[in-house]
Amino acid sequence: MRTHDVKVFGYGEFAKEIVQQVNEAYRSVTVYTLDVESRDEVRKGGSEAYLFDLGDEWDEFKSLEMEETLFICALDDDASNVFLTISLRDQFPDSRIIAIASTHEHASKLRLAGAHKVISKLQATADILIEVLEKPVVTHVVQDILDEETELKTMQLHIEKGNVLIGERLDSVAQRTKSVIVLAVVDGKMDTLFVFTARGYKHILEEGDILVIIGYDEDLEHFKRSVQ
Amino acid sequence: MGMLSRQVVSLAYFLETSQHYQKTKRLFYNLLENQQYPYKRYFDIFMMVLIFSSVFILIREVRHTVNDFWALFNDYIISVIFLIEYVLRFWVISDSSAIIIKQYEKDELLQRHFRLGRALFKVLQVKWHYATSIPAIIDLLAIMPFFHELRLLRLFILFRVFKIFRYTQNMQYFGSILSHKKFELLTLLTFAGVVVFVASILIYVMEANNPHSPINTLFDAFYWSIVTISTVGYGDVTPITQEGQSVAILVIISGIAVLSFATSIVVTAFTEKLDEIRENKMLSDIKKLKHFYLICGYGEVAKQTASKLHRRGRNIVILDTDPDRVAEAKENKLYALALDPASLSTYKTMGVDLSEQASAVILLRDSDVLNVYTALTLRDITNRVKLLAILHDKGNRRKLELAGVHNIVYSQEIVGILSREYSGKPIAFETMNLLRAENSTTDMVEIVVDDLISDRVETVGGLKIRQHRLLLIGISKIDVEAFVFNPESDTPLHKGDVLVVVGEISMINEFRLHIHKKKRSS
Repeated sequence: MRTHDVKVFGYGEFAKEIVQQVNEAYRSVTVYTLDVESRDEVRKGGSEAYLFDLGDEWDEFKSLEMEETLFICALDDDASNVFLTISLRDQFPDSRIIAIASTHEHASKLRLAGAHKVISKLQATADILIEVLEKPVVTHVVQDILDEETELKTMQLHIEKGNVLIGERLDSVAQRTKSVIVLAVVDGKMDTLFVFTARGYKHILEEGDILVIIGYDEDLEHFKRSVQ
Repeated sequence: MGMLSRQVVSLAYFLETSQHYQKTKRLFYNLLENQQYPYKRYFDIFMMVLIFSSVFILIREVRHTVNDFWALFNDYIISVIFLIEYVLRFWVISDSSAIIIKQYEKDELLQRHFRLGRALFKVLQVKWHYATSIPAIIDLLAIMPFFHELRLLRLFILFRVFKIFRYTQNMQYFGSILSHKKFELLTLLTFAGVVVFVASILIYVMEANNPHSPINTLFDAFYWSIVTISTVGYGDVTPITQEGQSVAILVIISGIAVLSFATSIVVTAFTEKLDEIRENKMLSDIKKLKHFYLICGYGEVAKQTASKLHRRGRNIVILDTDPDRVAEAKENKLYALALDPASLSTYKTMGVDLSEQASAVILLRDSDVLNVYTALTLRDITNRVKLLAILHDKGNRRKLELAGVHNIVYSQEIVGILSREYSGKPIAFETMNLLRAENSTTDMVEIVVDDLISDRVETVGGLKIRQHRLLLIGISKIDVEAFVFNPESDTPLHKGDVLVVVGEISMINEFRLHIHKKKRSS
């Protein structure tokens, strides 16, 4: 599952930042705005933008490959954002939807409306503030990982047919390399996420599992090549 | 100027400029009068112990023989300590040399002879004002048992109990609250006094000539009036004539009225002052906190942040100008004050040492303008406190940096980055989230290499971190001021390095204990 197309709904303060961030990472980013001024502003910035309303006319989306598309609902008005999320879920049951919530109450409504991931503005800000205060070094590491310009990254390694790691215990995989750290594994059968150190260390890798690895760009690529 | 005047002025200047004298005086002032002084509470406890010992000895010697040591301790040692305290209070209560200098400089300015008499009069006036205050009189009476030969004076030990007012803040609050209703209480007391006076005379006139009446003297009449008006009514002295009983009815009705009014006055005084009492109590509690996070502004982000920090057991102090928000913070069991975080006077009122007590100040006010202004106020007070701020408008980042804010958090950017990360690597994103989530059983923590660890373990390999089912993500090295990701096992450890470790919380706690316990047992 690799995202190629990102559709951002809304162009408020938060949506602008989202557009800026995802623009750097994806082949195609399209912004849908509720008013002409916002649409023109996006177009001035060089991105693709269209007008939309909260009606049920989604014909132009019908041709999209849902596995490759990500919807980001970032309308400023909470009620409209929930309505948009539920409309998208109704029309495209297989779509992936991220929704931006302003409050805790709004977040739970967005989850009920069918968003895969709800990012709460308040909670995300509070979490970062607390992390900066209580764990400054961890914050620094996480920021490094999230920062596109630094070399420290996370990678999701899908264990596919023919991968040399199939049949190996996770702790022995960790010992294979000194340059990257295996942080977690998703059991392909059970669809459960294990943090490696906690319960996952005895897990025997099978086709369909996904490893989460941290390391520098070059080391991650080298590890990937060495096991596939 | 006469010789005496000159010498007095010289002495005043000498004392005013003598660092040693001023330091000593300030020390005693803090100890005796300054509620904010941290060591005052020990002095207060010491004095209260003396008071209670004194009262205990007084009670004990009613039926038992008190040995010589305790008698000496009670009669002399405690009294001498109280005498010293009285003299010290008398000394520190005013600045006599400053009064003399002020008078001298005023006379010089007006080009007239220095009036020593006037200066000394002012000095004595201030001292007299203090000496005639109720606390000072109680202090003086508490010393009286010193003259133990006069048995009656021994009862003055009871005045020592009143000294407790000096050493307990709650008692002082009680006194100050009642003093606000001085007029009402005095009016009621006058009314009760008049009723007692009139009733005593009336009952005496009605009953004294009756041979069967127990009221034979004016004192009996007065005693009966007091017992009746207070609604105690022992029944040992009762009027037997019809006229006397009529007076009794009036006194009983007046007594009920007096008691009801007195109760109502005290309750009203407390109700009116309740907020002030709570505020003072909160200020006093905040001053006692060793560490706290100061949050300026109590908007939505602040509520989330404060609540999460509170759940982690951190002390939080909220400052906001909006009383409704402050009330909400108090409901959420936080220390909250309705004071302007951007005003210097706020921090004077709080009486806290920000550089020592505040672990960090978090600026979460409603605009960048207010955050910049508050940051500059805080920078005016100290450079040693860490400042964090939320950024409302991207364009103002530089202004906050210039105002001395160390960490700036821009919500929009965070949400943007999180959206990007989730859209590209949802599993990696959830893993990082899991490690940072509040209620997760796994965590990513920082372990500071302290003396105990650095003495015992020389390299990363020595930590045997894998044996504890933990992952070492990296070390923030103090010597090179850089983060070393996934360090080699021969990487040396130094005191002050910070290990970033991932694992189950229980395993992390066990690891912490293990690396410290080994040292103690070795």
